[in-house]
Amino acid sequence: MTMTDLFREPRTWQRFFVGVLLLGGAWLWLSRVDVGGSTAAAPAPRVGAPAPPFTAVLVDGGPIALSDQIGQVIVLNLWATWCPPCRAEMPALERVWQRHRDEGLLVLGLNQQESAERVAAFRAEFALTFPLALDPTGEIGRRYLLTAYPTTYFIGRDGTIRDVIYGGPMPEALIESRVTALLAEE
Amino acid sequence: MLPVLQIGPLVVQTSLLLALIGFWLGLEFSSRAARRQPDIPRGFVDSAVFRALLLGLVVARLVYAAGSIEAYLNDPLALISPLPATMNGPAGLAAAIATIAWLAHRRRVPLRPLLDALAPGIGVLLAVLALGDLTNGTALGTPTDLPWAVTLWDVPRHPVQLYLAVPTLSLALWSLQGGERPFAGFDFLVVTGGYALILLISGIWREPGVVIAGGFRQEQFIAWAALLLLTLVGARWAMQDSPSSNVQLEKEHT
Repeated sequence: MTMTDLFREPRTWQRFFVGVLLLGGAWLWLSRVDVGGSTAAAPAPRVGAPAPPFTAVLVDGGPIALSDQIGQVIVLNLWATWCPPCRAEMPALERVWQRHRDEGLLVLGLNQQESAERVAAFRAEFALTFPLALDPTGEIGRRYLLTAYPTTYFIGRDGTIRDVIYGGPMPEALIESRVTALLAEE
Repeated sequence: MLPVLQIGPLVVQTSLLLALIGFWLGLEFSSRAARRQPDIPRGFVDSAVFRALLLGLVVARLVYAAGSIEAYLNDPLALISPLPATMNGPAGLAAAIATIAWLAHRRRVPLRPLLDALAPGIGVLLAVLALGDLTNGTALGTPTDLPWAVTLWDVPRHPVQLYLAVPTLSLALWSLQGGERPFAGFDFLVVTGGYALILLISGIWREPGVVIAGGFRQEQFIAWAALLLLTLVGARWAMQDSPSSNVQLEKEHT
């Protein structure tokens, strides 16, 4: 009997069914996750992991530590003034920040390797009111494995990265929908 | 890991680029397979898949927008944003499948030969999507010190994306070969059932995603259920085409 003949037999498929039911069920059982055990992931710039901690200097002076902001919904935007999509999405970030800042939203723009004067001039040009911080050496960008400008991390109240958007400009509706979903979570 | 390609101000998502390549290759494979099927009108597969893609994309975007209706009413141009992050994948897939089913029904294209023609394309697309997970650093494997581990997010891990992509691509290439088959629909069962089987087996080396009651992994559970369903479909199709069944039918008619 050839393989083709074998597969023509309904009985072969019925045996397959029983095999999948028993062996597959056993494999499922073996693959179970220990829900009571520790599942805490190490900090990493990926969805599902805690956002890597950092402390940056605000354009106005003074430090801002990510760990101090946990408990809020955080939109962390890594950007530069020379990047056209970064410039294009700033007004949308500002509007979302204005709408939700009293509900526990923090929008944090983390500039990459530019001077405080340049960033301050940019902020004045776009009339931005959300906090802008500096990463003058690009150290935080490296920790976040920055590969594209802009890159935006949506961080939940528990400090876990919930979404990453590479590139831009992000439409306001995208930012708004992500933020409202995160704000609605307990 | 290479989630994006940045060319000047243009940022191209690698997984999106791979999905486009996968779609194009898959369509080419399915077109070739369709030429072997005498019951499928010439050009039907290309036309149906293109329409399904277009409708699927539109529905995926609209369903996502419906979930954030206020945001989209304030920013209606966002509906045509090229960023794939604002798509409802399952809704788009359902719309694409429904489109192909409706077109096939309207043109009276038989189901099983059509599924066989689509099988190599489905296999290629699934394999390429798994490669997209590798470039994105998503659907991660568990940490390991095996020599073939790949380092993702600074940790050597099981390359589960390759465990999935390589055999699935092999099944797609096999289904493209043609040759004698036990019954119509067999290629489809092998490619989709094979994918479900690999997903079920490799799930043990995958970082847990959604975990359901009892600590079972949702993805593995769905793969197992799909595999069971496909074996039942296989039994039914084999029974429908078996010579004894045909003799029985003839007896009933006479």
